[in-house]
Amino acid sequence: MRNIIRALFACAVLAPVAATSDEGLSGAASSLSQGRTFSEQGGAALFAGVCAGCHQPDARGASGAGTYPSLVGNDVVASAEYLEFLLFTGRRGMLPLGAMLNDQQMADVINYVRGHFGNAYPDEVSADQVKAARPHPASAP
Amino acid sequence: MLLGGYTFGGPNAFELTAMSPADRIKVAIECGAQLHPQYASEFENGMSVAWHRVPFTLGCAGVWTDEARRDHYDDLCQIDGRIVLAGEHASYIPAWQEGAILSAFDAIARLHKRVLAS
Repeated sequence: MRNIIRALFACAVLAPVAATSDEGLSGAASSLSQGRTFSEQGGAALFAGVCAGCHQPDARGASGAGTYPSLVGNDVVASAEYLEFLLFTGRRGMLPLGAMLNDQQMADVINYVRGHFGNAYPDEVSADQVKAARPHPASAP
Repeated sequence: MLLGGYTFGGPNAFELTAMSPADRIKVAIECGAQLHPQYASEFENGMSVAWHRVPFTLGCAGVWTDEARRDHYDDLCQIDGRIVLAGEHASYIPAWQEGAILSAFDAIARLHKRVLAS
């Protein structure tokens, strides 16, 4: 039963994407990724397309019945390695994202967060460092 | 009324929830029009909800592990004082209306049994 449910969900999710693959889209829908990996490139685009939905466009997070942590003035942002870990493994309500981001995208979005929103950590993480930290071989291209 | 899109887990889910509701609807219409060209002209109005940010749901559906179900499912379904829960999350078919309806029947049966016993 569970496999059937997953299969139905997969169809529901993939249908709009499949519909776009033949002719392509020029409007707002063209910003959607076309498969199981994110197509956004560069820290700003990745933050806006991936992180902002929870952490909000100003990175200040949101609180209601649950909490999406602020990335502003948050000490954990000091550690690029911890952000790598978070992206690879997820935590609480945060899904693991590493399999949907390649090494360069991971480095770009981590560096972007650590260099914006009032954060100014000078040490940047490289794609090679992300690659070394990646738990399993990337399924992303 | 048409459910034009429901995404979760993959890149599009993140991208759509990061958009404003108006932009999500714009995207859904563009995608739908690929299948049905009249989609845009026949569209009247729409709404979009990022369920993971809605305080009373915090997500789209219950997710159970075998261990969680073994340890907590029976407790969840018990009537506790004035509280009785029903919904897809209190069923063996999470995420589906069938689960929610079966859970409602189960809750009603428990209430009925309790009323008759009192």
